[in-house]
This record gives sequence, structure tokens and C-alpha cells, in this order.
Amino acid sequence: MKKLLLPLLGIIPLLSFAGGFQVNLQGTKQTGMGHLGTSFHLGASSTYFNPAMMGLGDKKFSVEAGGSFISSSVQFQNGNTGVSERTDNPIGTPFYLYATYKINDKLTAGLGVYTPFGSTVVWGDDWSGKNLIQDISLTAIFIQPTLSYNISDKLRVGAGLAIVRGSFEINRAAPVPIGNDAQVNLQGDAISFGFNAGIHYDVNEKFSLGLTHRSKVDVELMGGDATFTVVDSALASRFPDSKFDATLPLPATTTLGLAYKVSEKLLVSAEGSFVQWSGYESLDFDFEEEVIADSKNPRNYEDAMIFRVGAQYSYSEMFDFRVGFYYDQSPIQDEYFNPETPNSDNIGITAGLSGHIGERFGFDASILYIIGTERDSEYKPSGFGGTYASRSVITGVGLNYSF
Amino acid sequence: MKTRNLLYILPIVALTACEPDIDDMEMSKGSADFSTMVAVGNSLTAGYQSGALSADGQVNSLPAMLAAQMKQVGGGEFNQPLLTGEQGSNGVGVDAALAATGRVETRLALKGTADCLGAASVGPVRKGEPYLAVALLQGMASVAAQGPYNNQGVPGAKLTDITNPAYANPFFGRLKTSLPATMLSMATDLNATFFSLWIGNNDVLGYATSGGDDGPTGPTGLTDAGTFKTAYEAAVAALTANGAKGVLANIPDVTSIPFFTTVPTGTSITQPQADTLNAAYAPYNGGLDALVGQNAAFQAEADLRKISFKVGANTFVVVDPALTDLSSNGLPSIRQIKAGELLTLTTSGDSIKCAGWGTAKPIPGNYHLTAAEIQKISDATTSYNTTIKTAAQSNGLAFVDASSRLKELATTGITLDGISFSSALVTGGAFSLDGVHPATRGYAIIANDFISAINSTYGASIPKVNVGSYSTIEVEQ
Repeated sequence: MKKLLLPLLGIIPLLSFAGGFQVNLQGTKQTGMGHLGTSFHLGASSTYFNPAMMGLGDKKFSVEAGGSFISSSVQFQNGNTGVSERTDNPIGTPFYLYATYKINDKLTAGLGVYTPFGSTVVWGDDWSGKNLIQDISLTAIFIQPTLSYNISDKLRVGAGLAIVRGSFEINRAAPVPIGNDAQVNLQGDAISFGFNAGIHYDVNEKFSLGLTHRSKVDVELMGGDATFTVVDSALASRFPDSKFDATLPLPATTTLGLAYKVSEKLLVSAEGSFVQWSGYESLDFDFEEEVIADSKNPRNYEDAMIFRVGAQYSYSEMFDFRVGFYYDQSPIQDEYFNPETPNSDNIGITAGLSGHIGERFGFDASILYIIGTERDSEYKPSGFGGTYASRSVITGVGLNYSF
Repeated sequence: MKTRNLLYILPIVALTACEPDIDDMEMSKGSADFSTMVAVGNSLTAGYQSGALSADGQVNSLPAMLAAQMKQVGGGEFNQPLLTGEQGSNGVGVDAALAATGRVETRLALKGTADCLGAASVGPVRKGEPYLAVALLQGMASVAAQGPYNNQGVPGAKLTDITNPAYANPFFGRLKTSLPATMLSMATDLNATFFSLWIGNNDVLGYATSGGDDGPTGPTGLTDAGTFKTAYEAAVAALTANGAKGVLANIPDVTSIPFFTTVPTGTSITQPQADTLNAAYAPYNGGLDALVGQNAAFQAEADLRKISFKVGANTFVVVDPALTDLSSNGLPSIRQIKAGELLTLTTSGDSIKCAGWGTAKPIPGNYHLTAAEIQKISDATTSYNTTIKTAAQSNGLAFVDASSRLKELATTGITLDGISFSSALVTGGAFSLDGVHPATRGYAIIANDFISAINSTYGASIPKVNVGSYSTIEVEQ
């Protein structure tokens, strides 16, 4: 399955809408209630949300798949000229696929394929920030074989290995002091590894706690391709095509969640995530050709928090409804705010529903509206700044089957 | 209950969803009135760059950029005396050395070339053919009838020239309405509501670019500080007499421009080369020693004059007319360049590389600024700048610290919209090929400084220009 998926996955555009370039859309049910799911079981998607919970539920085999359609727009108002510009992003389509199998009462095996990081931002070839970024497409596909173990009726643990295929492509103008701007295309990919571990505890019949840690993954691109397009032949010798190395760190995320069953029908939950973005200090391109100056791009991200609340209401045997809200703090400091990942503090409002058809089959739908709050920031190293704001509407669909 | 809330939320999401909407940037003229703007100054106001005034340079002149932005807050038309035809496209330069030969140059452009050693490089070349001075002057017919002009920038003008009705300058001649019109009177005749005044650069520049050797009393000498103060205050008084508001800019330290910082003041040589040179200068050094033998007081000057080369880095040998004239002893007035001294951009690179300039042959003094000359330039600039700043403060006018901006370009450089600028010639992106005048993007950087100063002084909100949207120096294929 890995072999089949890898080439396919690389071409699917994703879109950044969480802090930094994190994409939190790993389950349609969870998305419908504020992307909560660390402390209560919602099927095979626990493989991602908290691997400790994979053995919960009464089914031996569960499979769950889904995806989202992201429609987003970022507006930038240049702080110098007052001119407004907008992204023209393609519809992003992150997806997920989970399967769990109970080997025995204690042990459950699972496999997850999901895309927790990614970004496709298209500003255009001739906008005022073209020397920083014209467009970027960043994807990270995680494949995660996982095991969970029930220590007792109340306490369970789980962990998985994350095999990560990271790839990206950047286009930007390369300003030159004479003649016409050159153009540079950077692309590369790499396989890296990380892990996802969790613990889950039922305090009592009503109250449960979950704690997960998803490790940092350094996507080390070795031998990426830098391709220059130079208009003036007099400048061609300064811009030979070159290999390059670069490292993109995907941050560790630690989440603590709690869930409370208010009644048979109503469940409420809250979570806090700590995302260690401070590991993203700089995005540096080290070019093999000496004539091209190495490109150092300080990012200096700061650790950030995400707070989520949500509720699920079992309306009938057939339908569950969900609502949620989250506040996702931007990891980016005011003087390092780059149009490549233009993420201010985000407010997410969500709603969702699930339908059950018979014992085995179910479908899910969610809608998420994200307000990227208005923010006056600059990327000081490049002397480029202004006001940014964004909006995203994300619809999600999912299917599940279990027996 | 939850479901009912959901039903309310969904349509709201669908309606407001998809597009963020940032309020438009507020624009305002503040307490100023830009309905008629007049710009008074020299080549920097006219739009001079790469050694000439051309139509392209005029269209992208500093005051034209300002006027275009002011238009967004109620500014009026900005009429410029555009050059046309061959003069418009090839430009008209005012090079003192060439003028003496009866020719006037065209503008510089970059082209692939080879130096005297045959190494390929990109270097400046002149556009088209030079003009014969007489023919050019006849060709520069008066355009006064198409006036009045909002741009009263005349390349080459010193401060005292703006009130001189007999000012002999072809760029002034084509604008002049009738005697006794002056640059300043044509400006005040516009009854402008706003003015820019950036003048004084030529009051030091001519002295500096000619290597400082003409002396303070010559035609390219430094303007006396007291004369400058009186004339500057009179000019500001005339421009503000009708209550107009305006902006003044100070004078960059000319030694921070690439005209003086591009040509290296020394070179690296091998031991055999050093041995040959030392042997060649041994009679000169010996002659100095002999003089010290006759007169011990000559020791200090002998130490200054003695020439010595070693393996590795050495400074060049130059002619210094300020040294004691020893020609009767058969000794030339030469020495090696000292730290902090500068060579002009006009020093021929090919002569250094292939004709032994600076090593086997001394570099002529008119390409060399001595420490004493640099000090004179610096003192004059400081005094002019004090006058300018005081005039801005006492008249409540906006003030642009162009000197600090140029210093920043020469030291740390600046980065705007991902483009790095420095005062390096060609690669720095801010200066045109003459090493004195900004390139179009350099003018845009300064235009934004003018806008900042105007905005802060008059509480205005004039949007700035997009520096990166202006073209770079053209490379001829």
C-alpha cells in the first residue's frame, strides 16, 4: 500500500490554515467539534488523535477514510503603498485513511495515513512580495503503523511510528540590480521518521483524560533542485542550476484533553495543545554551486498553544450532531511574518454531523470556518510588511465501516 | 437546541465566508495642500542619472514620483520639460572635461565588454554618438512656451545659481522665460502651494569629483559656508512667502557615494614585482634622503613621500601637488596613498591594470582626494546641513535626512521588499552608472523618505511608491 500511495500523495495540494503550516483536519467527526479527539473515542481515527484508544469500541475491524475541501483566501495590504493584494489559492484537499484491527482483548494494531502539515499559497508572479514568495506548495504525508495496549479497564497506551514523506516546491523572483529579474524554482523531497504516542485514562463512568505527544520531524531535503530562469544572457553565469540542501522542521505537538459525558446523549470536551514551533529557527538553502550565495531566511517561530472546546449530541440512533470552537495561536513573531506562511491567530468555528446506516456503515460531514485575524506585521529581514487577514471555509466528508 | 443554533450559523458562514476584507488604507493631505507643487534643485531634482538627463530619467524623477503619490491626496498636474528625440532617448550629459573639448556626452548604459586584459565583464558604455557642443546648444531650443514647469531642477546648479538670471547652463537656457527670470523666480511665479528644495550638492560635488585640486577659489571650488547660509535662507523665504508648505533635503557626504568608493586605492603584488618597483623608486627615495641630510627638518615630509612596496597589499602611488615642489631637484611630487584617502571613479581601471598606474606610474592628482581635501568637503557639508536643518525647523518645513540614508546605503545597506540595496556601483542597485546620481530605484527610495518626512510634518497620509516596481539599470544585449 505504501508503494502505491507514495507517488500519488506527492501531487495532492494541501493548504495551510492552522498556526504555521500545520493542517488540523485529520478526522471529519473531530473536525466537526473543534478538532477535538484526544480524550474520547470516535472510531479508527484514534490512530491519529490518540493511539491509546484504538482498542476501544466493540468492533474487531474498523476503517475510516475522508477528506476536506479547503477554500481559502489571504489578503495583504502593503504597508508602504496601501495597495491590497490577494492570494489565488487552489482548493486544497487533505485526506486521511485509518484502519484498526483488534488482535486480542489487550492488543490492537492500526495504520494511519494522513497529512498534518502542508501549505499551498499562490500570491501570483508579479505581486509586491514576489521576491519573497510567488507560490509555495508544501506537503507532508504521514504513514503511521501503530499498536495499542490495554493495561487495565481504565488505562491504555499506544504508539506508532510515523514515516513521513515531505516535499515542497517554491517559486520566487530573484531580484538583480541590473537587467530583468531572474526567477528561481526550488523543489525537493525527503523521507523522515517520527512517532505518535498517547495514553488514555477513564477517571470514572463520565470523565476521561487523554495525553498525546507527536514528535518533531526534521524533513531533511538533500539534493533538491534549484532552477534559475535568467532573461539577460550577461547574468546567466551568475545563476547556474544547482542542487541544494535544506531542513524543514515539523514541530512536536503535545495535547492534553478531557471529556465529560453530561448525559447519555451529550458529550463535552476541551483540549489544549502545545506546539513546539520554536524549533523552526531558520529556513536555509545551502546551494552546491558556490557562485550562488546560500540563502538564510530566519523564521524564529515561537511555541504556540491551541485551545479547543466542543460538544457532541446524539440526536437519535441515526444522527449525531457536533459543534466546536478553537483558538489557534500564531507562532510567528511580528518582525518575522512572511507571506510564505501568512498565519495570524486563527479562530475556528465548526459544526458537523454523522449518520449511521445499519450496524456497520457510517458517514460524516463537517464544516469549518476560520477567521485569520487581521494582523499588522513585517518580515524584517526582507523589509516587507503590511496588514494580513485570511478566511477559510473547509467542508469535510468521511466514511467509516466496521464489523 | 444545538441543531437550531447550527442552522443559524450555517447561512452566516456561507455569506461572509470566503474573502477577508481589510479596510482601505487611510489617505489624507493633512495640513498641507498639494494642488500646485514646484520642485527646485539640481540634477537630483531634474532626474539626471547615468551621466545624463534623458526623458526616461525625467519621467522617473524624484519630484515626478512625489507628485504621482500626492495626486492620490488631491495633488495637481506636474509639468516637466521633457527632452525629446535623440536627446530624449540618448540623454544629454554635462561632463566638464568633455565640454572643454567642445563635445557633450550621452548617457551611460551597461553592455558586455572586455577589459585591457581580455577578461569579459559588463561595463558602462555611452549611448549613441556624443554631440558637438555647439550643435547641441542650437538643438536645445527653448521650451519655455510649453511652461510653466513644476520641475525647476537644473543639472549642475549650485545654490547661488538659482538666483542668477545670467546663469550659463543649457538646461536652464531652454526653460528660461525672459530676462531677468531665474530658477527661483520661475518657481515662485507658479504661486505653488507646496515646494521641494534639494540644493547644495554641487556646492561641494564639483570640488570633490575633480579630485579637489581646483582650489577653493576656482570655478568648481567649495561655496563659502556664510554665503551658503544667506542664500539658502533667502531661497526658503522666497518659496514660503505665499504661505506655501514644503520639504527640504540635506546633502549627502559625497565621500559615501560610489564615485569615490569604487576604485580601490591599492593592489596586491608578488615579491619580484615589489623588488622591481622598489628598484625603480630607489633614486627618488635616495634623493629624499639626500635632502634630509641637507635639512633635518625635511625628515617628516620625506617619511610621507618615501615609496616602498612589499609582497601582498600595497597602496598606489599618486601625484600630490600639495607636497613641496622639488622639481628643481629632479624629484616629482609623489607619494603613496594613505588610509582614508580616495580615488575617483574616473580613474581608468585599464590604466591601473595594464599601464602601470599607481605602481610604475603615479596616478594624476586630479583623481585623488587627500585626507585634507576630504576634511574640507566634510566640513563644508556639515555646515550646509546645519543651515538646511535649521531652515526646516524655523519654518516648520518637512526635512529629509538624505545624508543619513546615503550613509546607511554605504555601510549596512538596506533591504526593501526582498531587494538588497547598497552603494556599491552596479551591484548595489541604488546608484546609476555615473556613481554620483541614484538609479531609478534609488530615486524611489529617496522619494519614500520625502513622503515619510511630509507625512510626519503635516499629519498627511500619502502612500509610498513601490520601489521594486521601477526598472533596474538596463543591460544592452
